[in-house]
Amino acid sequence: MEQKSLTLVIVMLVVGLAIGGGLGYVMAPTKEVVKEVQVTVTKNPLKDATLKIGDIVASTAGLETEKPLIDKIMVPDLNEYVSALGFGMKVQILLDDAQSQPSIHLEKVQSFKSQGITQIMGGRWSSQAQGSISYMNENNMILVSSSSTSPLLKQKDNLFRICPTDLVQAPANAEMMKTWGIKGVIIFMRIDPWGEGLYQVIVPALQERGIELIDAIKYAPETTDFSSYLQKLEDDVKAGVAKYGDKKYVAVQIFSFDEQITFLTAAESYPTIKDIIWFSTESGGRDQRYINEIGEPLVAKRMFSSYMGVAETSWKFINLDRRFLAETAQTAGFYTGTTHDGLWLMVLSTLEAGSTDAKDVIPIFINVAANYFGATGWCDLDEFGDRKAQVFDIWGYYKDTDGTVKFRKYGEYDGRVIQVKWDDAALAAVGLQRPALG
Amino acid sequence: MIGILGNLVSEITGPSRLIIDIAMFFGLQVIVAMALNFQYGNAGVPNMGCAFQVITGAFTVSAITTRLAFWFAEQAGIQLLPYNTGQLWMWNSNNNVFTTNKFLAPNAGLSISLLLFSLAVSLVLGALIGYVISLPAIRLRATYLIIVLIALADASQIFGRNVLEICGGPLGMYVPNVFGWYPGDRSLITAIVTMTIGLISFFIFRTMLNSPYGRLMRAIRENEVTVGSVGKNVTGIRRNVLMFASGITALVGVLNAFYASFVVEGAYQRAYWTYWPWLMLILGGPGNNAGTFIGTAAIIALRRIIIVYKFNIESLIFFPISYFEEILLGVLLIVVMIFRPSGLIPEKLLYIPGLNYSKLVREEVKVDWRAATKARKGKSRFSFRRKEEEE
Amino acid sequence: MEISAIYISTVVYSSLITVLSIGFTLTYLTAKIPNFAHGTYAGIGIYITFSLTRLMGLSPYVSIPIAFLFGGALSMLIFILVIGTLQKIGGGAIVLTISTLAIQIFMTAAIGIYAFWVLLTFHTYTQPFILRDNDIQISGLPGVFPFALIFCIATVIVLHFLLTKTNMGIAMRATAEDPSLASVLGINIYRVQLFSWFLTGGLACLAGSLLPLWFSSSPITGSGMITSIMAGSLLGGLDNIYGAIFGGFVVGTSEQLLTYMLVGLFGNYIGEYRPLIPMIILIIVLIFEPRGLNGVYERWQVRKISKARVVEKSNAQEGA
Repeated sequence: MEQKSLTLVIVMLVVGLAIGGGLGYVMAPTKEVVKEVQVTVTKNPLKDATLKIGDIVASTAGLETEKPLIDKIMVPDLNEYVSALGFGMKVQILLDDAQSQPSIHLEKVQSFKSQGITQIMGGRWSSQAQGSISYMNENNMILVSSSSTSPLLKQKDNLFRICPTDLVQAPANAEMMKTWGIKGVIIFMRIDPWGEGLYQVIVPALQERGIELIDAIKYAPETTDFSSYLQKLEDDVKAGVAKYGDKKYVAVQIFSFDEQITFLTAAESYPTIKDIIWFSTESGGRDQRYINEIGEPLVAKRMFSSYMGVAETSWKFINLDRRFLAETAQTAGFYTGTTHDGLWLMVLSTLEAGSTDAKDVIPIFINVAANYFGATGWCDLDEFGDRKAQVFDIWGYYKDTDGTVKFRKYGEYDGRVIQVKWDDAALAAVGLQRPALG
Repeated sequence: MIGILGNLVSEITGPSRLIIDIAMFFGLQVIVAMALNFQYGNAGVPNMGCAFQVITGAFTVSAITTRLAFWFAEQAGIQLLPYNTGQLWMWNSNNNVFTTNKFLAPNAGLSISLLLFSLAVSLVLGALIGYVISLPAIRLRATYLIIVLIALADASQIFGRNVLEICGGPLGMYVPNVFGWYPGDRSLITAIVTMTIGLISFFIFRTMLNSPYGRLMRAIRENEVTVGSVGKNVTGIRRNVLMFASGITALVGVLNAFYASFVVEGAYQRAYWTYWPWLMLILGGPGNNAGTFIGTAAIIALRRIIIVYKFNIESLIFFPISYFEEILLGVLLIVVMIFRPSGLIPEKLLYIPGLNYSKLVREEVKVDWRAATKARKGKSRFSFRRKEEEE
Repeated sequence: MEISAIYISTVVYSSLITVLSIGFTLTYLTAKIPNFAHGTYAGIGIYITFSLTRLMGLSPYVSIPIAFLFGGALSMLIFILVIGTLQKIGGGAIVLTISTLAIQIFMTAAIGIYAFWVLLTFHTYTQPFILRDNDIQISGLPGVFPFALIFCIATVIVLHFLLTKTNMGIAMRATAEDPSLASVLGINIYRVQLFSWFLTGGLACLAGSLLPLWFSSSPITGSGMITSIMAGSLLGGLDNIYGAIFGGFVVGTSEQLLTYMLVGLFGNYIGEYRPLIPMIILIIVLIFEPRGLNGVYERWQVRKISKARVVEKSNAQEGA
């Protein structure tokens, strides 16, 4: 019996030792085996890399100005900058066209992805951005948009917008009208994501300021002929003038792209709207084409355009404007500026991240943007990756003493505090006077 | 394929990505092209309003399924922003969809039933539209019908743009993600679902074509007067064909909406959803499904190749290469049509089990029905030139 | 003289749509296909006028003969290279229709490239433009207003004369009625078709060349007009040139004047549906009269003939 218990104890001891030893062996911190591990620290990870950026314009018409901008201005500039810093990286921009269709935009995005290109400058129309963004989120691609302004896209995603949304611009126009003493307004607009977005925001903004929305005339974006719409506009304006007693109390607000060149010319044939006050947006102000195409009638219309502020006194913008004018015979608009800034930000973020992959670029993009002063001023983006509210300029056209039509800045709108400051001296210099409010 | 399924959960990159993307687009377009083949290639109804049917499916998702999903979410006690008017529908839908997605993601059963629900509803609505189309289709001549259907496709877009309740007007809206339960890549599962539906509809079409009903359809295409004279209901058969094919086409709209998670009227232009399927059908050769497959695959592959490789010749020309894409496709199509006027795979005689054709038809019969139609009507210049030569 | 701009627009637009619809119908008659590229010819005409006025500083009316010849030659080229070849091989109507779609894609892209080249070379602005300032003024009216009307009426008269009095016209009508019978009679159908394509291309291009004088124009303007053209042609019954005159005018007027009146009556939302208005008219007409207005005309003719026969018969009976 004793022997038996002794054997048991010994057996248990042995087993315990075995288990303990085994466990100890497993759990004990492994002895540091000195191994020679080679750690490669790449001194210049971007050396010999090529940063390919896909650039998708919204419609075929956009290619016309985008191609010279990319080929003659952006690519040389960016490459010069990168090589001056000694990075040895090459920047290449591939230009493509979404043919105004969201499905084709998505197809082009996918084709870029299959080529290994993950940084895209595109989504120029909100519908195209929205149609592709879920694919891009899932595939770690970055989409930088120069002109998508839909307020519905305020989400935390891989979409970064260098332009402020309609939530900033529409109140600017309403405030401009209020300070100009307008009592009734007719909106003349295209039905597309951009026009509709602005319209939905400006309606409550007008109500708030006690301005009557007399009518809203909407036309399809494919429209090429505006006669029946303009005649309706004429009737509406006539009714408005009759109601408020004078032409100076009624205004027309247009939300249109370049088709406004043609209908502003056509408006000359209508006696009332010919010299009513027109308010426009960034596609109407500070544009040489308007002067060339429409000329003097612009002056009578006293067209005031809320123009998202380009840093028009900065060398960066002056330089861009001058070169763009030489290449395309057009002044650089706000969206030329945002395209310029967007591409610069992509390259700067790539350099900062040390990788051409969008995965590494996305987390730092907002921070890089916050420290960048571009052709459109400081590119502060908010937490959703959209441009923060900023200062808008008010531009208009006037006839100079030598008889030529020119554009001029008439004031500013501060989007952060919602306040319009007219430059009375500039207005007086061209013979305009702000009506007394009362 | 196994390789693709292997990395279900991890991010898909490289060639697998390309395959999935192309598969998705192929799946969508091939269903439209097959349905077209069914209508035009077999029943002789030139439906140029495919975009109309596709947009019906998309609008089903945005206007009906989304509301249903919101209702379910509200039943589950989730507070959503109000959405009862058109204005509010436009403004709040995107946020509501994000809230709803969080509710749907763990709820696989509900998500799948929502998907099936939208497929079923779009099938019914598509069939309804097929019925409406068939009313003029029976009365009108082919060219009239083509133009009326094009007009209807445009009209559907204009309504989508102006009626905010459908898809939030021109701004469009996100739609709920019914694949939230799937842990991996969403476009993979949509591609699989699309291909499955494509496969199912392929077999349905095939069975129908090889059935007596299919032979009846072809008989109508060849000569409706004869078919009518033997007591068959020609207009009824035409209507059924249109209704069935329209329903299938509407499914594509649903799948595309869930794939992009977004519905806007601008995404359903007739250039994309009518002309491309027609080109695929004509290129492949109408009247047989193999041709439709080849045509669709050829055009999608060609497009992708042009899109990707066109940059290599960009430096040779002065204008943006993107214009070239259009020109190249236009020229290629015309060239193919000139060299293969009856498509890459011409229509073959029907396969009927248990029937020996070579015995039945001793002499060589060329069943080129298009030429045959012309010869019968005597309107082809070619046919009488041949006569002249014989003389 | 003051005429409200809406009336000028209506007249100019209707005249041009009428001419384009006639051309569309003429193509349909001789080739039996709807030519989707028909509107794009007008787009080419637009850029011919643009080049002559903006780049060379000539009067826009100089472009009339040039546009006519250029459009005609282009249309003939298309016929020889594509449509004629496809017909020879035995491509059916649908293949031909799809090929016109491909041609339309091709030509629209070509216009786009041309616009880009102009911008690159001349640094002139090429997209949406309007040439109202280049137009001449006739007693306070824009020159295009009387001119478009005269052009439209002249086209109708010349075509009527051509189709009823000349050998070529009679051959064309015979071909339209029954090609095989016509060829038996010794008509060279290929030549007749070539001529009709030349005529339609030239007329369309000419109509397009007048368009920028009053309406806004861009490379896609021409191809965008095709639905209106088809509606006009279809309304007239597709196989009757005189029907197309009526159809074109109805469509043009309904797009301009009728839309404006409806907006005044029912409110602004009608304007948003403007592209649909000619289509709705078309669909209503087709539901009641599946062959368009031509059907009404033919029924009327048949009734007249049968009435005459009844009268003849009764006369004959009386005589007996």
